[in-house]
Amino acid sequence: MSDDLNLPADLSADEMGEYLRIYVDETNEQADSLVEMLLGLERDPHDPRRLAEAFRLVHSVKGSAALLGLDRITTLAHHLETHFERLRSGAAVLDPATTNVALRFVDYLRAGNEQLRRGEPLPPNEELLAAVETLGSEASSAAVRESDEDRPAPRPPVASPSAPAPADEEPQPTKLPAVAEPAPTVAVGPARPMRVTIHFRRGMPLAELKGELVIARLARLGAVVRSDPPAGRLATIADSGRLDVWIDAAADQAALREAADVDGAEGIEIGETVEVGVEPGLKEPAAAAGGEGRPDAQETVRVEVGRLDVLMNLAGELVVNRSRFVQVARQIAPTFRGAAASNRSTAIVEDMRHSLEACRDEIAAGASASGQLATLEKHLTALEEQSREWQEGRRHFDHMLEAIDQLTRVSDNLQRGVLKTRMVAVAPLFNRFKRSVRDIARELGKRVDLEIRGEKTELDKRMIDEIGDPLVHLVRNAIDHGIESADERRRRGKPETATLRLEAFHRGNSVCIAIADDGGGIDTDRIRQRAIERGLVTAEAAAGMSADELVDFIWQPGFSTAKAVSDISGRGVGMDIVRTKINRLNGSIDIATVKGEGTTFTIRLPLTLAIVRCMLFGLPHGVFAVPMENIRGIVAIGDSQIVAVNGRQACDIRGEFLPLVDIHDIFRWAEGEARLPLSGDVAVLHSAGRSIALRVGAPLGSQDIVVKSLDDNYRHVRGLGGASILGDGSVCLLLDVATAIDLAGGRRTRSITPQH
Amino acid sequence: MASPIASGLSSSAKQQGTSQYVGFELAGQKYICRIERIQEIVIPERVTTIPEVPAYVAGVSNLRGTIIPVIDLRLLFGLPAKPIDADTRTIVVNVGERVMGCTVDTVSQVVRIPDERIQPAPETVAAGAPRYVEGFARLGDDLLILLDTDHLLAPDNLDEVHRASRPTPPSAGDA
Repeated sequence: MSDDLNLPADLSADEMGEYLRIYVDETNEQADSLVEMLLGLERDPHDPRRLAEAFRLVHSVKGSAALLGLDRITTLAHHLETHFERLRSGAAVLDPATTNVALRFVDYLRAGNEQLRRGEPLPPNEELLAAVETLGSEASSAAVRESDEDRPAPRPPVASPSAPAPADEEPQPTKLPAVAEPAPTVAVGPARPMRVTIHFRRGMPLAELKGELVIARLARLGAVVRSDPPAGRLATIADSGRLDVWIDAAADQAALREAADVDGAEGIEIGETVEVGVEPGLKEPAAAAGGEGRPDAQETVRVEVGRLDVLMNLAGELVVNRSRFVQVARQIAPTFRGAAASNRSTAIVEDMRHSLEACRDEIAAGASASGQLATLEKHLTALEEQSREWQEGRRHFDHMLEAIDQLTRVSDNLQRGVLKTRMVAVAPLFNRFKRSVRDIARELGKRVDLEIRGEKTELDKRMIDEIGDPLVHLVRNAIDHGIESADERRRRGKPETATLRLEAFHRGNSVCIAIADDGGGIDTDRIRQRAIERGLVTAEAAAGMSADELVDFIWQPGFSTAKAVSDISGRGVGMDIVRTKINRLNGSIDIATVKGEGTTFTIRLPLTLAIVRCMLFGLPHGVFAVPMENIRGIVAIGDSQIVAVNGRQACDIRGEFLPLVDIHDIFRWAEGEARLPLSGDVAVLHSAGRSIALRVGAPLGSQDIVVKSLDDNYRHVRGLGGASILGDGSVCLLLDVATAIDLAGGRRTRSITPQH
Repeated sequence: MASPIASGLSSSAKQQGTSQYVGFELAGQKYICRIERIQEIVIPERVTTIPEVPAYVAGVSNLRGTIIPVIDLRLLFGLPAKPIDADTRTIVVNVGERVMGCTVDTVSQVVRIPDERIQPAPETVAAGAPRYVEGFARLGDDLLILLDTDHLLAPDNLDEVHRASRPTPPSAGDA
């Protein structure tokens, strides 16, 4: 029995780490509950609810451990489960000895989890195993009781002395996780392959993984010849409920049966077979990944994303509050900061003091204005007092500024920290594609290698959840429409196996995900033809369109890229939905395509959904925030740079003619139009390769804004990405630039057609 | 401000089958809505106008960190607009999961009305108007209209309410 991690061969180190982490977290929770049940049963050994729950917990630990091939735990749990089944059915009564053994099991489980977390093998457990195995038999039960006499009955589960590996025990060699040892080819003789058929419960969760587990475990006993379903399609077990494995093995049936008996297996048949069809490539002892050790399962806490959202919002509020402080301080500053102010009052005091003295001297000679003098003196003193207080105040103000600086630092760090808790690597998301690329390619009869890069790049959890669907669509699209058939590729002198690259990387304040294929590129002639057919553009206009403009048509709703670009009919969502989804994440998507060489889609996403760095602009209806990454620049334009064609305006910005729009070309306002003066500043906005020049008032500076949705309390407004609260408590609107550019184009077209 | 609505009722209020309402006024007409639906009543904050919405949506406002839409009830009911003055209030209403603001001319105190004093809306009225009028109550000289805010302010219903409540056929050059 090997007691290392014997993971299904196909799992990558990342997936492994992920499963291991989940296992450790889950079983620690289950251990806690089990202790609670055992302690309750101590008071009432017949409580059916607790007995059932304890049985369930042990069973579920067994299942999880079996999934990871942690045989030591599986075996222990198995025996314990058997005994608890007897207790539950009333065939036996829980005695203190059993409770003790169960608690020792919990201790062992916990100690084992600690070891796993550190990447070390499970400690040996012969003694405990012996105790568990003999549970239920009267004599042994007594024996156990005896040997356990010194242990006070149920005790808080601290590390059991029996659990950690004794020092003199030979340490287990640390094996690499993913190696499903293809057994040292035992079967030499003419041994016919045996067929092992495992029946699973249909719809069983994790069917794929369990199938892989079975194959990996069988592979230890002999050479697995093939399986049905084959290695790439194990997910179908969930539906078929059946897995056949042909194996060349000298091992006896019992051993095979034991190996195939994983959690969820409902029946196992073993028989000889005559059919031998060797499927190459099944037995890939998957990437033993050089000397890489077992991925550490760091200590983690699972937290509901909702709670992080709340924290995130609060941190955002704090940042807004802080900027309010900064603003108020800036307003007060002249009062205290202008040294002139307090100096002047000091000067006034001195002047008055002088004239007072002079006055007194004069009066000393003559009459009595002493009453008035006294009053004057009193006022003077008061003024001095005031002046001192003022200086005091100025010192306090300086302290306040320091405190605000401090607050700024803390709130920024807090915000960054909270943000960080939400960041997860894209690896699990990308790894999902290993299988689906293989499946889709097979389905379409193409050969595709998936190349994954930058899988350690981190992205907001929410974002990862949301981006999955668009990615699936783009990947499917790339294989379906982008990559040519092997024949075609051969004709074009390309390698028959195409390469699809999935890559994540940082660029500035955003994360990019690129899906690149080395296929045929987008056929712009077909798009042109299709666009004309669909009446989206006239033949003359289409003739004059650049490749980029033509490629843009694929974003049109209902513009079937399938029919336009290839003859295979498309399925699922259209490209317009992909783009809409990405836009709603405040992201953008660009296409770069070269005919005959391939297409790259680049999705650009902000690091987080919640905070966007924006430039603020004054517009007739209020303050607008525009994400920094959509701004190419702010330019002052004069009348000479503006040309009007056909009722539309364009302006010449450094030699490039861009549509010149104002906010009314993008949005309709109930209050009618308050036009800005004709010349002035324009912000050059861009998204997905298109640009417009938007008339704006003076820029009001840039800041991080906490994006709040309008949909929560009202509804989505096309062209707005949400709203935010500014330092002064007012609401500013966030422009969704990609949609705004669409709207500007649409509205302008609409306004020149007479049907309005 | 001893409102006529509030007076005259307090005596009979303590009996069973009595509900509490918030009373408010729009162009001289008095309305009530159920107090359970009202989150709070605030003096109008700065409202930011938003595009692509009908005129009766005054805009959005910041209610302690939450962004809420503000509906101008006068415009929703097709009444002439009225500038904000010292009496103007925004009633913050819970509409399902949403929080929305409604601007009204003035808000009077909370009133208690025995359930039997609330009459269902007559057929003739109910037929044309959407179901946002839950009933009527007569209090002294005042006729109070009981509004069902859940129905009135559901974002999908607003347009229908607006169309139905236009006093004159929509010829009056309102673009």
